[in-house]
Amino acid sequence: MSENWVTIENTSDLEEEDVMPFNHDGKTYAIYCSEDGEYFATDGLCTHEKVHLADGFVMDGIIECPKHNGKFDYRTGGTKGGPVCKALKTYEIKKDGDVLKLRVS
Amino acid sequence: MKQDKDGWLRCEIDRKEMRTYLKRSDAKGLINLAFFLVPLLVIGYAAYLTYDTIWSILLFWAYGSIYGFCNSLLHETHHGTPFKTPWLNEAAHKLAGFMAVRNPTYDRWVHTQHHTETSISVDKDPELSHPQPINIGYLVLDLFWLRAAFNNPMLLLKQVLGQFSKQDQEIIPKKKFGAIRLVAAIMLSIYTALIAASIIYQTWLPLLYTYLAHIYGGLVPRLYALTQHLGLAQSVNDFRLNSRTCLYNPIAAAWYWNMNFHIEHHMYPLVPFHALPTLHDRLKNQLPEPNSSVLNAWCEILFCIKKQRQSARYFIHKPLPSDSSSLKRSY
Repeated sequence: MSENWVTIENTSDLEEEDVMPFNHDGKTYAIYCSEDGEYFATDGLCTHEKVHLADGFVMDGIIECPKHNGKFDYRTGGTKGGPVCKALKTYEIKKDGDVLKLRVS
Repeated sequence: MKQDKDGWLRCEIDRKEMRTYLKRSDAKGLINLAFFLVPLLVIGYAAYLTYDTIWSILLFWAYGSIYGFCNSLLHETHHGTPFKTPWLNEAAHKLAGFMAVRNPTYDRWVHTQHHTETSISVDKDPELSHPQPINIGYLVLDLFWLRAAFNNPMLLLKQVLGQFSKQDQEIIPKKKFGAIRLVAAIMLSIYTALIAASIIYQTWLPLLYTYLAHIYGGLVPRLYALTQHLGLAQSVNDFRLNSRTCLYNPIAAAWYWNMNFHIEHHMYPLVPFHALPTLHDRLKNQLPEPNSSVLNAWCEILFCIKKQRQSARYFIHKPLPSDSSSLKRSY
């Protein structure tokens, strides 16, 4: 593992406008594939009530928390609709051949 | 079953399958909205044409009986799910809030708290109107909208004056109070204008079509809506025990935006109304038996009220499927 890049498993299930969970070293992340086939990554838990965003709804660059519809722009982590007030932390993600890699802190 | 990070039990369902239920549709939302608004307009017009006859009593009653389902539209639009296009949702949200005499901006925060702490306690769930044991007097008042008739306008006035309760201050960020006050001011202005119009033109019509509709016609929608949690367990982290799913006739279900699938709604609030029946069919073997009708639900509730006269702690315990178990999801 160089420069803290880790391989994300099971990404073949990740479709466009979709989100999946990824766990590494006791931390959980949400991995997104946008409408255009680009990949993004954020903290996995909603900043409002610690519910996993992988169960949420993805549309037009927005992830909606499955519990209270709190909205984030998953590309920037910014909040886009209540009740969320605190932004999501985002992470670098890259495609290395056929494999997706996440840069963890 | 699985226990999620928020501590609540939910039915197991494949993530990819759940995705299919989350899809939103403007067409389905607009059709359902039309199913609500068009009869209102038609019956409302007929009531106007027959105003000086005895037929208007029946027509206004029918109008009020449908009008009260605006609370269901308000609820669905709180979640942002009935329409795919956000502005459609927000427009319907504001309309529903006005019709329901409830500040939609404020109510959305309150409803969020209800989903966090469903039926846990009166202190934690601001929508827990009927804590155990059920107060029959309050229940009757609510069936005829008589508590809300006073409380709803008073709450708007308090919001305009910037008076927020301790609970409000705990669940709503302070920076959101301004927007709530603005919406409350607009709503009160419109209702004041309606009252003024009634006085000036010496007619009850502006109020008959709005505020008073909840009183003379609110019984029917309230009978359908009060079944959501009434008489069930409280202080449990299991929606199967604290929420009720009922099978309603298709007309009432449509006006109610399928909120009769209330267990499913609480477990997966992002699922739009049109997918709830399908979700119910998919999950029903993990859920208690639904009530077969609104009448069946009220028989259960009335039985609970009767039992509570002997034992105040009695509540309806829904038998769960024998093979349901709680599993911890690992992250």
